[in-house]
Amino acid sequence: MEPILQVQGLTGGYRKKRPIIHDITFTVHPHEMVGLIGLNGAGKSTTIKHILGLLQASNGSVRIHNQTLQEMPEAYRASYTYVPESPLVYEDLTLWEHLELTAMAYGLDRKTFEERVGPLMEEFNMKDKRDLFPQHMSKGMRQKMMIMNAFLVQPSLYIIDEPFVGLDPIGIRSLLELMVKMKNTGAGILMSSHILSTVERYCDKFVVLHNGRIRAAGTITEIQQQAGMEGVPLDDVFYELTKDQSV
Amino acid sequence: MMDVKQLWNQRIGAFLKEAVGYSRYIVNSGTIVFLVFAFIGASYYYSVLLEKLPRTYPVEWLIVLLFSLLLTGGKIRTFLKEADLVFLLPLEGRMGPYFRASIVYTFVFHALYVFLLLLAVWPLYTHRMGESAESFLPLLVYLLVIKLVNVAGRWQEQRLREQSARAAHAGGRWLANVAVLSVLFSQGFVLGNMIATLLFFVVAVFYYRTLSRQYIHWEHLVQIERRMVSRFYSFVNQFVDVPHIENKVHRRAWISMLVDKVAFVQRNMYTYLYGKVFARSDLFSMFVRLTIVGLIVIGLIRDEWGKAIAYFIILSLTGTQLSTLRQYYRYVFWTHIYPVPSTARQDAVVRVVFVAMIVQSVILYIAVLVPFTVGWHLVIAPVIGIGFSYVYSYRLLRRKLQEN
Repeated sequence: MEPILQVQGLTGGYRKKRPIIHDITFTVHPHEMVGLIGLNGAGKSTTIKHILGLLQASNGSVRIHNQTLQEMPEAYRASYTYVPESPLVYEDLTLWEHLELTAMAYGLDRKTFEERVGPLMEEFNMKDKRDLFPQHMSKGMRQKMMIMNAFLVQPSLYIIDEPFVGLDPIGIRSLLELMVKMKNTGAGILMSSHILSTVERYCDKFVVLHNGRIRAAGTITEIQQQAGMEGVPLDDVFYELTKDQSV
Repeated sequence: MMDVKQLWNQRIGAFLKEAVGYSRYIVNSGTIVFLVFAFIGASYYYSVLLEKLPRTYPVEWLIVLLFSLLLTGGKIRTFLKEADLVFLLPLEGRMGPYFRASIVYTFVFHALYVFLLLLAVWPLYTHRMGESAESFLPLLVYLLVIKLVNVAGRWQEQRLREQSARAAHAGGRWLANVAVLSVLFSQGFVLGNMIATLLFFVVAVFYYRTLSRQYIHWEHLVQIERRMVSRFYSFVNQFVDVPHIENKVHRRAWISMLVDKVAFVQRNMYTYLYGKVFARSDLFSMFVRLTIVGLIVIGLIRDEWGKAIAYFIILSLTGTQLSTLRQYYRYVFWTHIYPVPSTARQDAVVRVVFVAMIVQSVILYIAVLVPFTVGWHLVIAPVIGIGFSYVYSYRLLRRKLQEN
């Protein structure tokens, strides 16, 4: 099966002369959830920014449905949604209006919007919050709003950056259930998180970044083999893989 | 050990430096010229009014009202920042010098307003009182003392947790001010007034004593400071673009609902966003203010030329003000993510400004019609209205947008 996201030999960063990530290669297929893990500063966010098309690669390429951003900018952007690490909101719009704006931006018609938005509001327990401005929301509510925006569109790829911080336990569960549901309908998900137990439980494949390079990648068994630690939980493997240079 | 007084000096220094920097733009903007003209015009009408006003008219009530509001109101600038809730909170016991400096700073500013208001009502006052008017300097000193007591009282009030309690205290203070001022401005320095003032002081001391036992309401102070800073920036923003401006969002359901009428299609998404921004930001209140001023000014002018020129001036003022819409969400992250071309943002800003200007030109046309006399201005006004709205938004503003 053709991959949705293809990152090939990606080298880049904020400045051409000082790359932060080096030679990153991995793919996300349909029906696949990939966990991007690494310490603070390992290059997770930089990798994600390259995929989003916010940074320019000095080497290598990022393809979604076998197209680069330069080739087909609108089609490229329409094929994913993004949940940022910290909520990025419009102070002038209510929760409901954020959802409407997202629906318009991704070309959803009114009918589809209304069919999808009800269950989402229900799922995240935000039905009575629909006319709230971000100013009056808690961090968790704003995070839920970001998640709802991303899942409203139902794209083929979800890029989710550390989504669990600030969410209440029910919110976390709802998010995970939604991710599984979308995965089952054929979407691909790239998720970065520090909550390794959750990542291990839900992701099919893992990319371990360390100092801007891939330290290990593949299924849990493959990663355990690469670390020479068969049958050991991801936490411990991760600790081994990332500890050498941190001394 | 941190020296809180030094911290205050740093903050006031940084603020004054910034304010002086911005004042250059304000002076250059031609506002001073406008103010001088406005002052000359206003003084002329003032003297006309004085001549017509019978000396028996009890104008002291107006003076009392104005002063009571000025003496009671006014916020205390503390220059607190949000992070102070974490870093300065533990120092509360040693913050005395810092807050005292805030009170003094606030008083100095308010003293200036008191002086200006007294100067402004002085002709009215002497006109009414004639021989029995008190002289300027003692009145000023007296008012300043009351102002100082009020600022101190205000400071203590702000420890109160309940908004309603703070409002009640301010209300009480206002009544006390009205009582003292009514005697002062109708009878001068008489014994009754001195007793009232003495009572006022006793109450103020009581106030100070009981309230100072409460902890400082940091969150409230930070909130007030934020509001004042944003007011300062939105004032400055009229003259020069201020990068870090934080605006208050108003719901305005009835007007922002109009924006929901745009078709639910992809190419309208930025129109939807900027329509809502216009409806909810300070831009809308500015728009309403200018429209009302326009209606009055154009309506009062009898001359056809004058009407047409005023019509054009109001429209161009509105256009200039609305052009700041382009600053909103200029660097917002999502514009890079949405599968919508970035030029759609510019189109939407232009469209919203155009529609707002057309709406205003239609409303102002009513004032052009008043009083109904047949003339060329009835024809030329719509031409100016539609033509200028179009040229301003689709040509001038678009060029500005493309530049940045």
